[in-house]
Amino acid sequence: MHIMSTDRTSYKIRGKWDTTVGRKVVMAASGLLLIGYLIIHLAANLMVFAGDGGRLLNRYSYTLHQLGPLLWIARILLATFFLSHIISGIRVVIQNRRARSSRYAMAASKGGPSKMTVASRWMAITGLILLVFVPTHVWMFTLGPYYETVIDGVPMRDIYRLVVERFKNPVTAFSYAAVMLFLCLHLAHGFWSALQSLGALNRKWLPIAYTVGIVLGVLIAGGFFVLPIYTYFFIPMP
Amino acid sequence: MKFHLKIWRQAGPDQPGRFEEYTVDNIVPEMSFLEMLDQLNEELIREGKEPIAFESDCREGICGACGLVINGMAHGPKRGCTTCELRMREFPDGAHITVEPFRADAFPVIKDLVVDRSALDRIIAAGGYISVNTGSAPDANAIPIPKDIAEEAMDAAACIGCGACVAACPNASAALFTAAKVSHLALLPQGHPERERRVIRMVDQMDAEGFGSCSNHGECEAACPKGISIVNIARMRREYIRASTSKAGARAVL
Repeated sequence: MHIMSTDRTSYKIRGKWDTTVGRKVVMAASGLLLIGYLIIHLAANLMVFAGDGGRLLNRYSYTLHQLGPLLWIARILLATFFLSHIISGIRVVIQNRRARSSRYAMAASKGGPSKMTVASRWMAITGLILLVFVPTHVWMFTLGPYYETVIDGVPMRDIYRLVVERFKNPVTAFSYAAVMLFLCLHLAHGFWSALQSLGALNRKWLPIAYTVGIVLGVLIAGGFFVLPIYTYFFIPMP
Repeated sequence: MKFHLKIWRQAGPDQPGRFEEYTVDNIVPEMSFLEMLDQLNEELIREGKEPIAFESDCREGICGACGLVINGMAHGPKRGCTTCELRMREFPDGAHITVEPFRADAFPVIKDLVVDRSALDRIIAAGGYISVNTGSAPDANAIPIPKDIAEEAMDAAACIGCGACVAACPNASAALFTAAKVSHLALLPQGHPERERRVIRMVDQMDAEGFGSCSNHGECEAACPKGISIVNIARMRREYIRASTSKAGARAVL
Protein backbone atom coordinates (compact mmCIF):
# COMPACT_ATOMS: atom_id res chain seq x y z
CA MET A 1 0.00 0.00 0.00
CA HIS A 2 2.77 2.43 0.86
CA ILE A 3 4.59 2.37 -2.42
CA MET A 4 4.23 4.59 -5.43
CA SER A 5 2.28 2.66 -8.03
CA THR A 6 4.72 3.68 -10.75
CA ASP A 7 3.62 0.76 -12.89
CA ARG A 8 0.08 2.20 -13.01
CA THR A 9 -1.27 -1.09 -11.69
CA SER A 10 -5.01 -0.49 -11.46
CA TYR A 11 -5.36 1.37 -14.71
CA LYS A 12 -3.17 -0.93 -16.76
CA ILE A 13 -4.10 -4.32 -15.37
CA ARG A 14 -7.73 -3.89 -14.44
CA GLY A 15 -8.49 -1.35 -17.13
CA LYS A 16 -9.66 2.23 -17.12
CA TRP A 17 -13.28 1.37 -16.30
CA ASP A 18 -12.35 -0.67 -13.23
CA THR A 19 -10.90 2.18 -11.13
CA THR A 20 -12.77 4.16 -8.46
CA VAL A 21 -13.71 6.75 -11.09
CA GLY A 22 -14.25 4.24 -13.93
CA ARG A 23 -16.61 1.97 -12.01
CA LYS A 24 -18.81 4.91 -11.15
CA VAL A 25 -18.88 5.94 -14.82
CA VAL A 26 -20.14 2.45 -15.75
CA MET A 27 -22.64 2.50 -12.90
CA ALA A 28 -23.86 5.97 -13.86
CA ALA A 29 -24.21 5.32 -17.60
CA SER A 30 -26.07 2.03 -17.07
CA GLY A 31 -28.21 3.63 -14.37
CA LEU A 32 -29.28 6.49 -16.63
CA LEU A 33 -30.13 4.04 -19.44
CA LEU A 34 -32.21 2.02 -16.97
CA ILE A 35 -34.02 5.22 -15.94
CA GLY A 36 -34.73 5.79 -19.64
CA TYR A 37 -36.21 2.31 -19.85
CA LEU A 38 -38.29 2.90 -16.71
CA ILE A 39 -39.87 5.97 -18.29
CA ILE A 40 -40.88 4.00 -21.42
CA HIS A 41 -42.10 1.14 -19.22
CA LEU A 42 -44.18 3.49 -17.07
CA ALA A 43 -45.71 5.15 -20.13
CA ALA A 44 -46.78 1.70 -21.37
CA ASN A 45 -48.12 0.66 -17.97
CA LEU A 46 -50.23 3.77 -17.69
CA MET A 47 -52.28 2.30 -20.56
CA VAL A 48 -53.91 0.13 -17.88
CA PHE A 49 -55.74 3.29 -16.83
CA ALA A 50 -57.22 3.77 -20.33
CA GLY A 51 -60.50 2.23 -19.17
CA ASP A 52 -60.91 0.32 -22.43
CA GLY A 53 -60.76 -3.18 -20.98
CA GLY A 54 -57.12 -3.50 -21.96
CA ARG A 55 -57.45 -2.81 -25.71
CA LEU A 56 -54.66 -0.23 -25.83
CA LEU A 57 -52.25 -2.14 -23.59
CA ASN A 58 -52.75 -5.45 -25.40
CA ARG A 59 -52.30 -3.83 -28.82
CA TYR A 60 -49.10 -2.11 -27.60
CA SER A 61 -47.78 -5.39 -26.23
CA TYR A 62 -48.72 -7.15 -29.50
CA THR A 63 -46.89 -4.50 -31.57
CA LEU A 64 -43.77 -4.91 -29.38
CA HIS A 65 -43.80 -8.66 -29.89
CA GLN A 66 -44.18 -8.20 -33.64
CA LEU A 67 -40.71 -6.58 -33.60
CA GLY A 68 -39.17 -10.06 -33.23
CA PRO A 69 -35.37 -9.88 -33.25
CA LEU A 70 -35.43 -6.16 -32.39
CA LEU A 71 -37.27 -6.98 -29.18
CA TRP A 72 -34.59 -9.52 -28.32
CA ILE A 73 -31.83 -7.01 -29.01
CA ALA A 74 -33.60 -4.59 -26.67
CA ARG A 75 -33.92 -7.30 -24.01
CA ILE A 76 -30.23 -8.24 -24.27
CA LEU A 77 -29.21 -4.57 -24.04
CA LEU A 78 -31.44 -4.09 -21.03
CA ALA A 79 -29.96 -7.16 -19.32
CA THR A 80 -26.47 -5.84 -20.08
CA PHE A 81 -27.24 -2.44 -18.50
CA PHE A 82 -28.78 -4.20 -15.51
CA LEU A 83 -25.82 -6.53 -15.01
CA SER A 84 -23.15 -3.84 -15.47
CA HIS A 85 -25.05 -1.68 -12.99
CA ILE A 86 -25.10 -4.51 -10.43
CA ILE A 87 -21.50 -5.64 -10.95
CA SER A 88 -20.06 -2.12 -10.73
CA GLY A 89 -22.31 -1.50 -7.72
CA ILE A 90 -21.09 -4.58 -5.88
CA ARG A 91 -17.47 -3.72 -6.62
CA VAL A 92 -17.95 -0.16 -5.34
CA VAL A 93 -19.60 -1.38 -2.12
CA ILE A 94 -16.85 -3.95 -1.43
CA GLN A 95 -14.10 -1.38 -1.99
CA ASN A 96 -15.85 1.21 0.15
CA ARG A 97 -16.21 -1.19 3.05
CA ARG A 98 -12.54 -2.10 2.81
CA ALA A 99 -11.55 1.56 2.84
CA ARG A 100 -12.71 2.00 6.45
CA SER A 101 -12.43 -1.19 8.47
CA SER A 102 -12.48 0.61 11.84
CA ARG A 103 -15.74 2.47 12.32
CA TYR A 104 -16.31 5.77 14.08
CA ALA A 105 -17.82 5.57 17.56
CA MET A 106 -19.84 8.63 16.63
CA ALA A 107 -20.70 9.89 13.15
CA ALA A 108 -22.64 13.02 12.30
CA SER A 109 -23.18 15.19 9.23
CA LYS A 110 -22.09 18.81 9.21
CA GLY A 111 -25.11 19.59 7.01
CA GLY A 112 -24.83 22.68 4.83
CA PRO A 113 -23.81 21.70 1.30
CA SER A 114 -23.95 17.96 2.14
CA LYS A 115 -26.20 15.91 -0.13
CA MET A 116 -26.26 12.95 2.25
CA THR A 117 -29.79 11.66 2.83
CA VAL A 118 -31.49 8.36 3.60
CA ALA A 119 -31.61 7.92 -0.19
CA SER A 120 -27.84 8.25 -0.62
CA ARG A 121 -26.98 6.12 2.42
CA TRP A 122 -29.38 3.34 1.43
CA MET A 123 -28.37 3.01 -2.24
CA ALA A 124 -26.94 -0.49 -1.74
CA ILE A 125 -29.96 -1.63 0.30
CA THR A 126 -32.57 -0.19 -2.08
CA GLY A 127 -30.52 -1.61 -4.95
CA LEU A 128 -30.55 -5.05 -3.35
CA ILE A 129 -34.34 -4.88 -2.91
CA LEU A 130 -34.71 -3.98 -6.60
CA LEU A 131 -32.33 -6.80 -7.51
CA VAL A 132 -34.72 -9.27 -5.88
CA PHE A 133 -37.77 -7.47 -7.24
CA VAL A 134 -36.86 -7.34 -10.95
CA PRO A 135 -36.49 -11.10 -11.62
CA THR A 136 -39.64 -11.77 -9.55
CA HIS A 137 -41.43 -9.12 -11.58
CA VAL A 138 -40.35 -10.63 -14.92
CA TRP A 139 -41.35 -14.08 -13.67
CA MET A 140 -44.79 -12.83 -12.58
CA PHE A 141 -45.66 -10.94 -15.72
CA THR A 142 -43.57 -11.71 -18.82
CA LEU A 143 -43.26 -15.39 -17.88
CA GLY A 144 -46.74 -15.56 -16.32
CA PRO A 145 -49.80 -17.44 -17.66
CA TYR A 146 -50.59 -16.91 -21.33
CA TYR A 147 -54.16 -15.69 -21.68
CA GLU A 148 -55.44 -15.04 -25.16
CA THR A 149 -57.82 -12.43 -26.46
CA VAL A 150 -58.98 -11.32 -29.91
CA ILE A 151 -58.87 -7.62 -30.75
CA ASP A 152 -60.13 -6.50 -34.18
CA GLY A 153 -59.97 -10.10 -35.35
CA VAL A 154 -56.30 -10.51 -34.33
CA PRO A 155 -55.55 -13.11 -31.66
CA MET A 156 -53.00 -11.83 -29.13
CA ARG A 157 -51.81 -12.24 -25.55
CA ASP A 158 -54.16 -10.74 -22.98
CA ILE A 159 -51.48 -9.13 -20.82
CA TYR A 160 -54.09 -6.75 -19.38
CA ARG A 161 -55.98 -9.65 -17.83
CA LEU A 162 -52.76 -10.98 -16.29
CA VAL A 163 -51.87 -7.55 -14.83
CA VAL A 164 -55.33 -7.08 -13.31
CA GLU A 165 -55.39 -10.66 -12.03
CA ARG A 166 -52.01 -10.30 -10.36
CA PHE A 167 -52.91 -7.00 -8.71
CA LYS A 168 -56.22 -8.37 -7.41
CA ASN A 169 -54.02 -10.37 -5.05
CA PRO A 170 -53.51 -7.98 -2.10
CA VAL A 171 -50.09 -9.44 -1.21
CA THR A 172 -48.79 -8.83 -4.74
CA ALA A 173 -50.39 -5.39 -5.07
CA PHE A 174 -49.18 -4.00 -1.74
CA SER A 175 -45.71 -5.53 -1.77
CA TYR A 176 -45.25 -4.20 -5.32
CA ALA A 177 -46.31 -0.75 -4.12
CA ALA A 178 -43.96 -0.99 -1.13
CA VAL A 179 -40.99 -1.81 -3.35
CA MET A 180 -41.79 1.34 -5.35
CA LEU A 181 -41.05 3.45 -2.26
CA PHE A 182 -37.53 2.02 -2.33
CA LEU A 183 -37.35 2.70 -6.08
CA CYS A 184 -38.24 6.32 -5.30
CA LEU A 185 -35.28 6.58 -2.89
CA HIS A 186 -32.95 4.85 -5.35
CA LEU A 187 -33.88 7.27 -8.14
CA ALA A 188 -33.88 10.37 -5.92
CA HIS A 189 -30.16 9.94 -5.28
CA GLY A 190 -29.39 7.92 -8.41
CA PHE A 191 -30.32 10.45 -11.07
CA TRP A 192 -28.25 13.45 -10.01
CA SER A 193 -25.49 11.20 -8.69
CA ALA A 194 -25.21 9.50 -12.11
CA LEU A 195 -24.82 12.86 -13.84
CA GLN A 196 -22.23 13.89 -11.23
CA SER A 197 -20.35 10.60 -11.73
CA LEU A 198 -20.26 11.23 -15.47
CA GLY A 199 -18.80 14.66 -14.80
CA ALA A 200 -21.80 16.35 -16.39
CA LEU A 201 -22.45 18.85 -13.59
CA ASN A 202 -21.05 22.23 -12.66
CA ARG A 203 -21.97 24.98 -10.22
CA LYS A 204 -25.06 25.90 -12.24
CA TRP A 205 -26.38 22.44 -13.12
CA LEU A 206 -25.65 20.55 -9.90
CA PRO A 207 -28.52 22.00 -7.84
CA ILE A 208 -30.89 21.72 -10.83
CA ALA A 209 -30.01 18.04 -11.40
CA TYR A 210 -30.42 17.35 -7.68
CA THR A 211 -33.96 18.73 -7.67
CA VAL A 212 -34.87 17.09 -10.99
CA GLY A 213 -33.69 13.74 -9.55
CA ILE A 214 -36.09 13.99 -6.63
CA VAL A 215 -38.99 15.04 -8.88
CA LEU A 216 -38.18 12.24 -11.35
CA GLY A 217 -37.98 9.68 -8.54
CA VAL A 218 -41.34 10.73 -7.14
CA LEU A 219 -43.01 10.78 -10.58
CA ILE A 220 -41.63 7.44 -11.85
CA ALA A 221 -41.98 5.52 -8.60
CA GLY A 222 -45.28 7.31 -7.94
CA GLY A 223 -46.69 6.06 -11.25
CA PHE A 224 -45.66 2.50 -10.51
CA PHE A 225 -46.99 2.89 -6.96
CA VAL A 226 -50.45 4.03 -7.99
CA LEU A 227 -50.83 1.27 -10.61
CA PRO A 228 -51.24 -1.80 -8.32
CA ILE A 229 -53.20 0.13 -5.68
CA TYR A 230 -55.65 1.57 -8.22
CA THR A 231 -56.00 -1.80 -9.95
CA TYR A 232 -56.68 -3.56 -6.65
CA PHE A 233 -59.41 -1.17 -5.62
CA PHE A 234 -60.99 0.15 -8.81
CA ILE A 235 -60.35 -1.97 -11.91
CA PRO A 236 -62.84 -4.86 -12.43
CA MET A 237 -61.59 -8.30 -13.50
CA PRO A 238 -61.99 -8.56 -17.27
CA MET B 1 -16.03 26.11 31.33
CA LYS B 2 -15.99 22.40 32.13
CA PHE B 3 -16.01 19.54 29.64
CA HIS B 4 -16.29 15.77 29.81
CA LEU B 5 -14.06 14.26 27.15
CA LYS B 6 -14.02 10.77 25.67
CA ILE B 7 -10.74 10.49 23.78
CA TRP B 8 -9.32 7.69 21.63
CA ARG B 9 -6.05 6.36 23.03
CA GLN B 10 -3.84 4.02 21.05
CA ALA B 11 -0.23 3.31 22.02
CA GLY B 12 1.03 2.54 18.54
CA PRO B 13 0.15 1.63 14.95
CA ASP B 14 -0.67 -2.02 15.55
CA GLN B 15 -1.89 -1.70 19.12
CA PRO B 16 -5.55 -1.98 20.04
CA GLY B 17 -7.14 1.38 20.84
CA ARG B 18 -9.81 2.35 23.34
CA PHE B 19 -11.64 5.39 24.60
CA GLU B 20 -10.61 7.03 27.86
CA GLU B 21 -12.59 9.60 29.76
CA TYR B 22 -11.21 12.87 31.08
CA THR B 23 -12.75 15.94 32.67
CA VAL B 24 -11.23 19.37 32.06
CA ASP B 25 -12.12 22.46 34.05
CA ASN B 26 -11.27 26.18 33.92
CA ILE B 27 -11.44 26.31 30.14
CA VAL B 28 -11.73 29.83 28.73
CA PRO B 29 -14.40 30.06 25.96
CA GLU B 30 -11.88 31.76 23.63
CA MET B 31 -9.51 28.79 23.84
CA SER B 32 -9.17 26.74 20.70
CA PHE B 33 -9.92 23.03 20.82
CA LEU B 34 -6.19 22.32 20.66
CA GLU B 35 -5.44 24.73 23.52
CA MET B 36 -8.01 22.86 25.58
CA LEU B 37 -6.14 19.61 24.78
CA ASP B 38 -2.82 21.35 25.64
CA GLN B 39 -4.23 22.18 29.06
CA LEU B 40 -5.41 18.59 29.53
CA ASN B 41 -1.96 17.33 28.51
CA GLU B 42 -0.23 19.60 31.01
CA GLU B 43 -2.42 18.13 33.73
CA LEU B 44 -1.66 14.60 32.52
CA ILE B 45 2.08 15.34 32.52
CA ARG B 46 1.86 16.77 36.06
CA GLU B 47 0.14 13.57 37.16
CA GLY B 48 2.94 11.56 35.54
CA LYS B 49 0.63 10.17 32.84
CA GLU B 50 1.21 9.83 29.11
CA PRO B 51 -0.05 12.99 27.31
CA ILE B 52 -2.48 12.63 24.38
CA ALA B 53 -0.71 12.71 21.03
CA PHE B 54 -2.30 14.99 18.39
CA GLU B 55 -0.93 16.95 15.46
CA SER B 56 -0.78 20.69 14.98
CA ASP B 57 1.49 23.25 13.41
CA CYS B 58 0.40 26.73 12.34
CA ARG B 59 -2.71 26.91 14.54
CA GLU B 60 -4.23 29.45 12.17
CA GLY B 61 -6.00 27.17 9.72
CA ILE B 62 -3.56 27.25 6.85
CA CYS B 63 -1.17 24.33 7.26
CA GLY B 64 -3.52 21.32 7.34
CA ALA B 65 -1.63 19.52 10.11
CA CYS B 66 -4.40 19.37 12.69
CA GLY B 67 -7.49 17.28 12.27
CA LEU B 68 -9.69 15.47 14.75
CA VAL B 69 -13.12 13.95 14.52
CA ILE B 70 -15.09 15.76 17.22
CA ASN B 71 -18.54 14.43 18.09
CA GLY B 72 -18.55 12.52 14.80
CA MET B 73 -17.61 15.52 12.65
CA ALA B 74 -14.24 16.15 11.03
CA HIS B 75 -12.82 19.39 12.53
CA GLY B 76 -15.83 19.56 14.85
CA PRO B 77 -19.31 21.03 14.51
CA LYS B 78 -18.41 24.43 13.00
CA ARG B 79 -18.29 24.59 9.19
CA GLY B 80 -15.43 26.16 7.27
CA CYS B 81 -12.81 25.87 9.98
CA THR B 82 -10.01 23.58 11.07
CA THR B 83 -9.69 21.97 14.50
CA CYS B 84 -7.22 24.67 15.59
CA GLU B 85 -9.70 27.40 14.64
CA LEU B 86 -12.54 25.79 16.57
CA ARG B 87 -13.20 27.68 19.80
CA MET B 88 -14.56 26.10 22.97
CA ARG B 89 -17.45 28.61 22.96
CA GLU B 90 -18.97 26.43 20.22
CA PHE B 91 -19.79 23.88 22.95
CA PRO B 92 -22.18 24.37 25.87
CA ASP B 93 -20.61 24.34 29.33
CA GLY B 94 -20.49 20.83 30.75
CA ALA B 95 -20.75 19.23 27.30
CA HIS B 96 -19.70 15.65 26.65
CA ILE B 97 -17.29 15.59 23.71
CA THR B 98 -16.05 12.52 21.82
CA VAL B 99 -12.66 12.89 20.11
CA GLU B 100 -11.45 10.32 17.56
CA PRO B 101 -8.69 10.22 14.96
CA PHE B 102 -9.51 10.47 11.23
CA ARG B 103 -10.50 6.91 10.39
CA ALA B 104 -9.57 5.39 7.02
CA ASP B 105 -7.48 2.36 6.19
CA ALA B 106 -5.36 4.66 4.03
CA PHE B 107 -4.71 6.80 7.16
CA PRO B 108 -3.24 4.33 9.68
CA VAL B 109 -3.13 5.54 13.29
CA ILE B 110 0.41 6.33 14.46
CA LYS B 111 -0.51 7.15 18.05
CA ASP B 112 -3.69 8.29 19.82
CA LEU B 113 -5.15 10.97 17.53
CA VAL B 114 -2.23 11.16 15.08
CA VAL B 115 -2.71 9.45 11.73
CA ASP B 116 -0.33 8.95 8.81
CA ARG B 117 -1.66 11.02 5.92
CA SER B 118 1.31 10.55 3.61
CA ALA B 119 -1.04 8.74 1.19
CA LEU B 120 -2.17 12.25 0.18
CA ASP B 121 1.44 13.28 -0.50
CA ARG B 122 1.88 10.25 -2.74
CA ILE B 123 -1.25 11.21 -4.72
CA ILE B 124 0.26 14.66 -5.31
CA ALA B 125 3.64 13.12 -6.18
CA ALA B 126 1.90 10.94 -8.79
CA GLY B 127 0.92 13.96 -10.90
CA GLY B 128 -0.26 16.97 -8.90
CA TYR B 129 2.36 19.32 -10.30
CA ILE B 130 3.48 20.99 -13.52
CA SER B 131 6.89 20.15 -14.96
CA VAL B 132 8.64 23.46 -15.59
CA ASN B 133 12.11 24.74 -14.97
CA THR B 134 12.01 27.16 -12.12
CA GLY B 135 13.64 30.51 -12.69
CA SER B 136 12.74 34.11 -12.14
CA ALA B 137 9.04 34.82 -11.75
CA PRO B 138 7.27 35.39 -15.09
CA ASP B 139 5.71 38.76 -15.87
CA ALA B 140 2.29 39.20 -14.35
CA ASN B 141 -0.45 38.73 -16.95
CA ALA B 142 2.02 37.30 -19.48
CA ILE B 143 -0.52 34.47 -19.83
CA PRO B 144 -4.03 35.93 -19.99
CA ILE B 145 -6.47 33.95 -17.82
CA PRO B 146 -10.12 35.03 -17.52
CA LYS B 147 -11.08 36.24 -14.06
CA ASP B 148 -13.76 33.56 -13.47
CA ILE B 149 -11.38 30.75 -14.46
CA ALA B 150 -8.67 32.15 -12.20
CA GLU B 151 -11.16 32.33 -9.32
CA GLU B 152 -12.36 28.76 -9.89
CA ALA B 153 -8.76 27.49 -10.00
CA MET B 154 -7.91 29.47 -6.87
CA ASP B 155 -10.89 28.01 -5.01
CA ALA B 156 -9.65 24.50 -5.84
CA ALA B 157 -6.06 25.43 -4.94
CA ALA B 158 -7.23 26.48 -1.47
CA CYS B 159 -6.93 22.82 -0.35
CA ILE B 160 -4.59 22.51 2.63
CA GLY B 161 -4.45 18.72 2.43
CA CYS B 162 -5.81 18.15 5.94
CA GLY B 163 -7.73 15.02 4.91
CA ALA B 164 -11.04 16.05 6.49
CA CYS B 165 -12.77 15.06 3.21
CA VAL B 166 -11.51 11.49 3.65
CA ALA B 167 -12.44 11.50 7.34
CA ALA B 168 -15.98 12.77 6.68
CA CYS B 169 -16.68 10.56 3.66
CA PRO B 170 -18.77 7.48 4.52
CA ASN B 171 -16.57 5.61 2.01
CA ALA B 172 -13.24 7.13 3.11
CA SER B 173 -12.80 8.43 -0.43
CA ALA B 174 -10.09 10.93 -1.32
CA ALA B 175 -12.03 12.14 -4.35
CA LEU B 176 -12.36 15.76 -3.19
CA PHE B 177 -8.67 16.05 -2.31
CA THR B 178 -7.56 14.54 -5.64
CA ALA B 179 -10.18 16.48 -7.61
CA ALA B 180 -9.12 19.78 -6.06
CA LYS B 181 -5.58 19.40 -7.42
CA VAL B 182 -6.72 17.97 -10.79
CA SER B 183 -9.17 20.89 -11.13
CA HIS B 184 -6.71 23.55 -10.05
CA LEU B 185 -4.22 22.52 -12.74
CA ALA B 186 -6.73 21.53 -15.46
CA LEU B 187 -8.30 24.99 -15.32
CA LEU B 188 -5.04 26.81 -15.99
CA PRO B 189 -3.02 26.82 -19.24
CA GLN B 190 0.14 25.85 -17.34
CA GLY B 191 -1.55 22.59 -16.37
CA HIS B 192 -2.73 21.62 -19.85
CA PRO B 193 0.34 19.85 -21.30
CA GLU B 194 0.20 17.13 -18.63
CA ARG B 195 -3.53 17.00 -17.96
CA GLU B 196 -4.17 13.47 -19.31
CA ARG B 197 -1.36 11.77 -17.52
CA ARG B 198 -1.96 13.80 -14.37
CA VAL B 199 -5.54 12.65 -13.85
CA ILE B 200 -4.84 9.01 -14.73
CA ARG B 201 -1.81 8.78 -12.46
CA MET B 202 -3.44 10.59 -9.55
CA VAL B 203 -6.61 8.46 -9.71
CA ASP B 204 -4.48 5.34 -9.99
CA GLN B 205 -2.43 6.33 -6.94
CA MET B 206 -5.61 7.19 -5.02
CA ASP B 207 -6.84 3.64 -5.71
CA ALA B 208 -3.49 2.06 -4.84
CA GLU B 209 -3.64 3.75 -1.42
CA GLY B 210 -6.92 2.00 -0.64
CA PHE B 211 -9.29 4.97 -0.52
CA GLY B 212 -12.97 4.27 -1.24
CA SER B 213 -14.89 5.58 -4.23
CA CYS B 214 -17.06 8.66 -4.25
CA SER B 215 -20.81 8.04 -3.83
CA ASN B 216 -21.69 11.72 -4.13
CA HIS B 217 -22.88 12.12 -0.54
CA GLY B 218 -21.26 15.57 -0.42
CA GLU B 219 -20.11 15.12 3.20
CA CYS B 220 -16.58 16.12 2.10
CA GLU B 221 -17.65 19.58 1.00
CA ALA B 222 -19.50 20.09 4.30
CA ALA B 223 -16.39 19.12 6.28
CA CYS B 224 -13.82 20.93 4.11
CA PRO B 225 -12.35 23.84 6.11
CA LYS B 226 -11.80 25.65 2.80
CA GLY B 227 -15.31 24.93 1.45
CA ILE B 228 -14.02 23.22 -1.69
CA SER B 229 -17.00 22.26 -3.84
CA ILE B 230 -17.85 18.80 -5.17
CA VAL B 231 -18.16 20.37 -8.64
CA ASN B 232 -14.40 19.76 -8.66
CA ILE B 233 -15.10 16.02 -8.41
CA ALA B 234 -17.30 16.29 -11.52
CA ARG B 235 -14.44 18.10 -13.26
CA MET B 236 -11.98 15.36 -12.25
CA ARG B 237 -14.33 12.78 -13.79
CA ARG B 238 -14.58 14.81 -16.99
CA GLU B 239 -10.79 14.96 -17.07
CA TYR B 240 -10.61 11.21 -16.43
CA ILE B 241 -13.10 10.31 -19.17
CA ARG B 242 -11.36 12.71 -21.54
CA ALA B 243 -7.93 11.25 -20.71
CA SER B 244 -8.96 7.63 -20.89
CA THR B 245 -10.58 8.06 -24.30
CA SER B 246 -7.77 10.11 -25.89
CA LYS B 247 -4.48 9.22 -27.54
CA ALA B 248 -2.59 11.45 -25.12
CA GLY B 249 -4.14 9.49 -22.26
CA ALA B 250 -3.12 6.19 -23.84
CA ARG B 251 0.47 7.46 -24.11
CA ALA B 252 0.35 8.57 -20.47
CA VAL B 253 -0.04 5.04 -19.15
CA LEU B 254 2.78 3.52 -21.20
